[in-house]
Parts: sequence; structure tokens; C-alpha cells
Amino acid sequence: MNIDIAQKRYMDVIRPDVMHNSKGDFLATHVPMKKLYVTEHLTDHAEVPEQDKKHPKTEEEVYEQFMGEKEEDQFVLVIGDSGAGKSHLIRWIDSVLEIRKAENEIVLPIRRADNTLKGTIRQLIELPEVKELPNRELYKKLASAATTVPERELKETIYYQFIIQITNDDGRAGDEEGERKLSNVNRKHLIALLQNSLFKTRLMDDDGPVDRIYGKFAENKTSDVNDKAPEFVREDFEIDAEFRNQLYLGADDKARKIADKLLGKPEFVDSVKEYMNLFVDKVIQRCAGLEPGDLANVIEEIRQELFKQGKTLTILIEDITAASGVDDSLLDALLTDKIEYPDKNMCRLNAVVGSTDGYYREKFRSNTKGRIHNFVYVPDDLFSGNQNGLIEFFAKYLNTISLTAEDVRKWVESGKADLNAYPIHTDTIGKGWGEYNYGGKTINMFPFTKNAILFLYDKQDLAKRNPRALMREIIEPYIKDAMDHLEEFPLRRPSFQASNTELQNAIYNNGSLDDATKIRLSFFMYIWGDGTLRSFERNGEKYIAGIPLSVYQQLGLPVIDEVQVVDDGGQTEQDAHTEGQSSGQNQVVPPTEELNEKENEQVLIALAEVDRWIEQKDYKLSIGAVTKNVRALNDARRNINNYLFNTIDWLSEGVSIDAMLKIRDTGNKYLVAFERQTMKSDAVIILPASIESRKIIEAFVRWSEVGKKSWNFKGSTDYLYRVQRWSDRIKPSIINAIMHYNDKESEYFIYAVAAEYYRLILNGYCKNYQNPQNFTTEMLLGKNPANTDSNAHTKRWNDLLKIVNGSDGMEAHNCVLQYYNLPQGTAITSTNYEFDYVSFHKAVRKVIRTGLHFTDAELQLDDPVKKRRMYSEHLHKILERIDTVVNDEKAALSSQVQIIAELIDMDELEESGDIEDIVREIGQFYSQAQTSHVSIAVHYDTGKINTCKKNASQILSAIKNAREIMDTQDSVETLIRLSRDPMQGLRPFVELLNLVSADVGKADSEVERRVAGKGSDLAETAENPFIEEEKRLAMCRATIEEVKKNHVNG
Amino acid sequence: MLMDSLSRSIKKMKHMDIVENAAMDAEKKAKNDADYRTVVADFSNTVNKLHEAVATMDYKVTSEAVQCLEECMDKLNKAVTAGVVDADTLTGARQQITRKVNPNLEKEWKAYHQKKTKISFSKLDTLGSLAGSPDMIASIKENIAGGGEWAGLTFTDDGVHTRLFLLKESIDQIDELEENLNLSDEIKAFIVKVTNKKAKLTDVTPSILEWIKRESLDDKFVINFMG
Repeated sequence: MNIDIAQKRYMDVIRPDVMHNSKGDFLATHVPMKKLYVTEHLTDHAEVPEQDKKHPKTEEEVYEQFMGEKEEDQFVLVIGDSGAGKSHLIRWIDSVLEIRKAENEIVLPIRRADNTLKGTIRQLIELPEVKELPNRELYKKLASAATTVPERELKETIYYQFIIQITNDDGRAGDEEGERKLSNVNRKHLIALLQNSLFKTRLMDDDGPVDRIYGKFAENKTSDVNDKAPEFVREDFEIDAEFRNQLYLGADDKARKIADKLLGKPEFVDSVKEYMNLFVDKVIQRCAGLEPGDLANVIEEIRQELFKQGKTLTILIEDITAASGVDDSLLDALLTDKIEYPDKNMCRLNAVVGSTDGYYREKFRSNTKGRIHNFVYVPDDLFSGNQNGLIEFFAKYLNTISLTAEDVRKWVESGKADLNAYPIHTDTIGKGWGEYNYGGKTINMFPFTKNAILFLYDKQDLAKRNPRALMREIIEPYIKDAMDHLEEFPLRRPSFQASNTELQNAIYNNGSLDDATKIRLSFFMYIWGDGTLRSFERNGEKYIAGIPLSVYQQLGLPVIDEVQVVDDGGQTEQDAHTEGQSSGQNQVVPPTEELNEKENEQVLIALAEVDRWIEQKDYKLSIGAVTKNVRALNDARRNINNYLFNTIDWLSEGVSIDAMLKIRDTGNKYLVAFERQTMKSDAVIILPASIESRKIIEAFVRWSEVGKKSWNFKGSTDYLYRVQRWSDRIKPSIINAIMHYNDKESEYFIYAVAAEYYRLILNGYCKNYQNPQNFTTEMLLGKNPANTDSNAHTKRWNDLLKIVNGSDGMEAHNCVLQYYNLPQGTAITSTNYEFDYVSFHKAVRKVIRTGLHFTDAELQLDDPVKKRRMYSEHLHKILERIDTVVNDEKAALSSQVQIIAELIDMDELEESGDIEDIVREIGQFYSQAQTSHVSIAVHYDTGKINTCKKNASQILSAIKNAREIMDTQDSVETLIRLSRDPMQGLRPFVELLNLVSADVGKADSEVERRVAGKGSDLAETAENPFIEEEKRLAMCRATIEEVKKNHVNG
Repeated sequence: MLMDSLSRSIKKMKHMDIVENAAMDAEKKAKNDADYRTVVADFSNTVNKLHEAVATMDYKVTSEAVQCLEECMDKLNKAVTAGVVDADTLTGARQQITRKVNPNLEKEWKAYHQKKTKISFSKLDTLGSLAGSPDMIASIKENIAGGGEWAGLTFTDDGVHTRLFLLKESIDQIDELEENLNLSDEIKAFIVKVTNKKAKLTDVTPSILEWIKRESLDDKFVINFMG
């Protein structure tokens, strides 16, 4: 490369625009096209029939076929994907015509230029043949159409032209024979919608349809080639509910109606879009002020003029989309055979028109298609099977950018672009890089080598192997990097799979190099070089991996120990012109080095991903639940973690198996994870993106893929040794992480125990205790299932009971049993309990001493491991409810006791017999009521009364318990007392008392009423009817007393 | 407190039962009242009678009889609550009176009367022909016999004097007759013998003969063969 020239010239050469459209550069970079397909008919999908593909033609053959001396009119459509090389071919034809054309041949090239209609028309009016047209009016029209109009104004014009066209349409869009494309009603609604300011803003937006049409019509604002049709697409009319609602705010009723129809109805959206597209051409024409036939008329008039002059015409149109809006009529004119119109006296016309196959398929009218009989198909993969052509393509571009424009011009003008006189640049840098032999001359290929070109070409997607893509994506960026950052070249490093890992190992194992250098060197030697450690001498210079030492020095790369071999003479690529060499098609030569065995594909894929991760500082390793994860890496991460979990002797490190399992079984919690993963995971150790990590990862990838989950593979001893050393190094961190977090020791066992005690209390297993300080460790060892019997507790109590008996409570229960359970045999969690009882006892006593009281700060609620944190969260849930539960229970109990106290003197309740007496009296009350037929007798429930009598001792006990509860302050002690369920004991008694106390009042009222109704008063009457008798009886008593005193025998 | 309320209520209900039961039959009530009055009156009469007997004749009853009386009186007291007669209690009292009190008193009076009047009768048998007229003797006997039934003790056959009084009077009359005859012990013994038909001629002593002449009782005595 000549760097000074190249820095100024490379953009002009690689990305020619309207200003720097040099014919010289074109010729200097042109690589003969050898794989063109010629056919008379395309398939329905605009493809070349298979049998025509069997005989590809060169550009020369195509030229001869169509541009030779012929009398008949010819129309050739050059078709192919965007960037395949259509306009390049047409330009080449133009340049050859310039040299070889007959004297009386006029060539009218319509360059792509800016690919707009205005640009196209501008070219036309510059042509002398058009300038001299007798029809001045036509000329003026064209000139006017070509004028520049301010963008905003033109866009508004375009927009309102659509409205005008549609307003004046009847729904058929000018197709008189055809059906209505849109109903009248919808058409009117569409007009209203288009007139709505909100919708207009949407369509006038950047990259919207109006912008696209403008870009095709007037001005291509990007530097990209735009060979797409300007038209409406579905998205332009697809609206969502939000947009509709906004539209509603100020829209005309008709606009709203059509907006509703557009919402969520793709068929209707498509019909509107297609209807609008029918007006695109007309709108462009109107905006240009052109009639559809104006361009056609120009062509016709030119032909007639030339006929008069005895001349023939060749028209070359690089891209028909550049005539969007008038392309139909233009094609029509180009396809007009003079034979059909003898009276018009038109000259012979050869027309070569370029079009993308998509545009041909969708935009060419069927009758136009039917008139085309000559197609030249330019395939995308021009270079497939043509390695030499590919290299030549690179070489010519690399050469041309290092030539001044002047040199090139001279070669074209005075040298007539003679290939034998093809100029070669003088290189100022890049000696020793790839070389291409062209016509006996050598073109320096800096910054490429043949290997690099082939590799990078292969790396491209199939659709991106056309010349334009190769220039944009390979040539341009690598040149720029080489010119600006040679010390870091190559910057761009697509991933690759090292088929021979010997080189990579040698580099990566080299302790004197830093990781960045290792990666760069490895990449360079594999891609630019031959990927081996072999070295030889040639012409006094040492070559390593096929690259001379000087190149390494230019790049500032170190040289590593190599393996000496004999120079095999090397293979400089040569062009087809050089004699004695093979013809155009070069075979791909397989690598000469022997592969000991085919490397496992998964290993290669994984290591390629790892290399990319190391090399590119912002690259995220595809790990985890993503569709694009590299399976072998995913497995490696899992296997590394499993290895650590299985090989560390946890118990001897003082780690409970349970504690280890908490980490192991936490999803997305790992002992080891990788730096910069696509899915971030929580890990104790993060493996940095380094060569060192690569070795560990590689060990496990090989363990899985090569050793089939064993260490039985070649070289495993070394890998295993590395892994063991590494794991020994990180073990302390892991142990610490399992047992600690934030410098605190994890105490989840404590919380599980406390929670379990609370569960026992609430389920009534602690009834015989007063105080939690008296709890024993043995209490925890029973099954202690949830108590499902009905109880008389409050809702809050039962809700809390549900919580402690729920899944979290069961987890705590299991944790208590498992934490100090020594695993039996291979079972991690066994149901045979073999306890480390001493430790268990010690830990549980610690909990007992707390009295089951914990503050929030003591609960480790910030433990990042969820499986541990769940215990403290569960305990916290319990603790924050205890006071409320206790208060609720106390309140309920208090109200019960209050009822009793209001009816009975509690101090007189000493023994169960006292309760029985009360109940008995109640029974008598009801029995009497029954006898006396008092209405409350219906409440007489002997069952209830008998039950209370039978349970008198429980009732008494419950009353005593209730009174003690009221006096207890400590919440846990209160809870324990409450767990005896005094309410259950009291309830029937209280119910009975309540009932009877109400009934007494009712009974008394009824009795009073009934007695009063009998005219009798229960109170003593004023008149006693038996006063006399009473007196008599009193006298009798006195008499008897007297008799007793003195007149009794014995 | 509840217990108190319960017992009061039970009591009220019971009373109500009574009231309702009684009120259901007004006649019954009236009858019960009447019965009660009757029973009380009867009882009162019985007690008065006893009092009379005790006062008149220094009569003594057994403690059993007293107890019966007391029980009966209790029943009679209980039979009335708030002016309402409990028929059952009344019946009980009545039965007590008819089955126990009165029979006891009758039995005891009978025994007492027999015992009391036996001597008097024998005196009268002995002395009657000596002392008085046969009509008088017969009247005395009648009075004594009339006082033998407890039931009629307070009847006034003559509208003035009760049988009890007449009994007492008759007994006293007999004693008076005896006194009036100035009977020495020897003569009393002789009269007894005569009454018992055991007197012998040898028993007729000069003093006795003298007494007979003095009292003009010559033709009051007959001599009979033994056997």
C-alpha cells in the first residue's frame, strides 16, 4: 500500500458517488465477470431455469452476443440481487462500447448516479442528442422536471398529489376494465384520514412513505445505493389502539371510521396500501410535471433523429428504479421494435437495462414481462468456485486506492486502459504481506493475505458475498483499521474454530505474553497465516505460519517458538493471464498439515466462543437460558460447579451438607460463573475472561465432549492437574461463601429451629410448658404433624397456624432435622437420621436461650441466598404476627371470662364440683321451665348441660388458665398458655351461661305476665284471706306447746 | 348472681304453676279455701278439745300424739302460700288429721276413759243403790259413758254442758257420794266386797252393822248363797 495516497483515495474508489464517478477507477478495479447466466425466459419467481445455469458465460461472451453488429433492436434485462454487480456489468459494457463501438453508434448511458428520477432526467438533458432535440417543448418539460425543489415543499406536493388523485378517482385507480379496488365509502373515508393532521405527520415522517418516494424521485439523502421501489408498505397503514385513540380526539367522523377499520384488520390495511401504490407513478409524474409518455417520446424522437442521421442507438440504464414513476412508459419505449412501426422511421436500438429481481417480479407489468426475451442474470456468489477471481478483486481494489487519480486517468486515456499497461502502485508499507501476480507484475495485498481473504469471504453470509458487500464489509473496514491502528491490527476478529490447536496451545501457554497479545497473535497467525507453528526460510527471511517475520515486526507482534520445516516454495496467487498456470477456476487446496485426529466439533465451537469472549471486551458469553447459548459452554459451567460440589469434602471443612445444598439447589446461584454472561448469574467465584480461565473451561469441555464425562482422554492428566490446583486455590472462598455472607456467618439453622418451636407451640405440642426457656431439644425430633383438629382460637391464630403448617413451615421442620444429619452412604438427604447430636444440641440450646425472641436486625433478612433467607423470612413473618395474635386471643378470652364474671362469682370456683352445681341448677331451671310450660324451655339442651357437667374440671382449668393468661406479659409465654385452647374449654360453658342468663330474664317476665293475667300477684296481697285461720293455728301451736310442757306421758 | 336468679326463677315458676293450676278452677279454689278453713277449724277444735281435756281432767297424751299434732300443724301452715291453698298439702294435712291425729287421740282417750271411769263405775255399782236414786245413778252412768268417745267430747247434749264436763261432774258426783256415805276404810272394804259379791257374813262387823243402821241401808243389802 502507498499509505499517503491510499488515505486520500480509498473512499472515492470504494464508495463512488456522483462527484467521484471515475471511469478510470472503474476500469482499474474491474475483475472480469465469468459467471453470468443468459436465458430467454425466467421462471415465475424471476429465476434462471436450471438448465441455463449449466452454461455460465463470461462478460465477453455476453457482450459478443448482444452488442455485436446486428440490425434488429435488442432489449437485454440485466437482473440480479442488489449489489450483485448489475450496474457494474452495464458500466463495463459502456466502457467497452466506447472503445469498440462502430462510428455511427451513439451510446446513451443513464448512470445510476443518485438513483432518483430527477437525477436520471438531468443526465438525459445533458446528453447532446437530447439537447439538440427539435422538440423544444419536450426539452423544456424535461428541464423543468429536473429542477431542484426545496425538500419540504416537494414532499408536501407529493402528499397532496395523492389526495388529489384519490379524490378524482372512482376507486378503480384508472383501471377502467377492472374492479373497484376500494369502495366509494372507504375511499372518501381514506381522503378524510389523509387530510387529518396526525395521520399526515405519520406518513410524512422520516423513512415514511413520502420520504421514500421523495428519495426516489428527487434526492437520495443517504450514501447507500437505493434500488428499491418507492411505495407504501403495510406498516404505513397499520395503526394500534393508542394511535386510534389519539386520532379520535380531533378527527373527522369519516377518518375515525376508517381508523377503526384499519385497527387490527390486516386484509383491509393491505387493500388500502395497494390502492395507494396504484397512484405512486402518477403522483411522481405530476410532481415532475411529466406526462407518462414524455420520456418515451424523448426516446422516440432521438431514434427518429438518429435514423435521419443514419445512426444507431444503444441505451444503457444501470438501474430502472431510477426512473420510478415513468419507468413503465420508458420500458415500453425501449421495447418498441422499429419493425412494428416502420412509418415512424426509428433507428436501431439496443437497450440494456438493469433491475433487481424483486423489482422485476413486483413492478414490471405482465405485458412488459412478456415482451422481454433476453435476460442476463448476475448471481450473488460471483466468486464462488473462483478463488482467483476473488483474490484478483481484492488486489485490484487495493492497488487502485494506492494510485493517484491522475495515474489512473493517464492509463485510461493514453494507455487506452490496456491491461498490459495496468499500473501497479508503489508500496510504502506492507512489504511481506500477501501478493498477487497480475500480468507478471506483483500487487502488494496489504493489509490482506490470501488466507485472510478466503477466511473472511467464507465468514460472510451467503447473501453478503456479492462485490458490494465485500467492499463494504471487508475491504473498507480492514483497510481503515490497518491505516489508522496498525499496532492493534487486526481489530475486527470474527470467531473461528482452530482446526489445529497446537498453535493456540503454544501461544496460550506462553507465560511471557499478556492475554491481549496472545489473542491477537493467535488470531493473526490463524487467519492471516496458515495456523501452524511451522517455520521456514525463504530468500533469507524467516517465515512463521507462512508469514514473514517482518510482518510480525510491523504489527508489533512477538514471535513464538516454532517448528522448523522445509520451505515448500510457497504459493503466491496468480491471475489467469499468467501463462502456464491453471485456468480460471482454482480448486480449493486442502491444508497440507496433517491433522492427528479430527477435533471434536463441540470443543471447537465452545473454544471459539470462549476466544471471542476473551478477545472482545464487550462480548457476552452465550450462557444460560438463551436460545443462542453454546451448549458445550453451558454444560461446562454446570460441570465445573458439579465437580466442585462433588469433590469438596464439606463435612471435614465444617460445612453442613444442608448448607451446601442450599447453594447448590438455588437456581441461578453458582459456585463458579463466567464474567460477562448473557444471562447474569449469582456466583461465588467469577471466572474472568482470560487465558487462564480458558484452560479450566477447556478442561471441562473436553471432559464432557471428548472423555464422555470422564477424564479418559488424551492429555487429561495435565488438564486435571490444572483443575485440581485451581480448585484448591478457590476452595477457601467457596467454603467461606457457603457459610458466610457480608462477613457474617449464616445462621439460618437458628431461624429454622425458632420457627419450628413456634410451630410446635401453635399446634399445641407445648401445652405442658410455661416458658420457652424450659423447652428441650428432644421436642424437635418427633414427627409433630400439623394439628388439624378444630379449635376455638381466633381467625388470626388460625391464619398463623396455617402459615406455620404451610410449605415454609415444613421446610423449616425438615431443615431442623437435616442440618446435622450425617449422610448415610451416597444419599445426600437420608431419612435415616444419624445425628451429630452434640452440635445439634448446642445449636438448639442457643435458640432456647433467646426465649424465641428475635429483633429484625438479628434475622439476616439480607442474606442473598434465597434458600437460606427463606427461614429468616418465615420466622419474621411469624414474629411480626405474634403480638397481634396474642392480643386478639386475649381479647376474645377476656370477653368470655367477662361474661362468666358477670354471672358467677369467680372466687367461689374452687373445684369442679362448683361448676357442676351451677350446671345442675341450670338444668333444674330448664326442667322447671318445661314443667311450667315457659317458652324458654325450648332451649333446654340436656346434651349441652351434660357435657358441661362432664367437663366441669376442664372448664375450671380453662377459667384458671384464662385468668393466668391475662396476667402474663411475655408474648411467648402467653402463646404457650393460649395453645392449651382455653376458649375451647370455656366456650360451651359460656354459651350455656349466656343462654340461661338471657332466659332467666325472659322466664321471669313471662311468669309475671302470666300470673298477673290470672289476677294474682306474686307479691304478698294486702288482704290475707286466712288471717283467722292463721290465728287459730297460732293458738293451736301455743296450746300444743303447753300440753307438751306439762301433759305428756313419757 | 346467676345462681340466685335461677333459684328465684324456679320458685316463681313453681308458684306460677300453682296459681295457674288454682286459677284454672275457681270453684276448686273456693273449695280448697273452704276445705282449708274446715280443716283448720277441725284441727283447731281438736286442739281445743285436747286443751279442754287437759284442763278439765288433767288429761295427758303421749309424745307421739303431740308429734302428730305438730306435723299436722306444719302441713297446715305450708298448705297456704300467698293466700293460695295447696290442695295436695291440704289433703296431706287432712289425712294426717283423720288417719293419725284423730285416731291417736281417740285411742288414747279411750284408754284414759276406761281407766279413769273403771273405778268410778265400780264405786257407783257399789254405792249407787246406797247413795242415790236409781235415776241419778243411771244419769251418772250415762254421763260417764257419754264422755268415752273423743269425737263427741265437746258436744253439748243438753246444749249447755259438754260431755267432757258431764263426765268430770259425774266422776266427781260419785266421789261425793262416796264421801257423803262417811265410809270408813272398813266399810269401804266391805262395800267393795259386796260389790264384788265377795262379801261374807263374817265381814259384817258390828261397826258395819252400825253403819248400815245409821245410814238406813238395811234393805239395801241381801244375803246370797255362795256360788
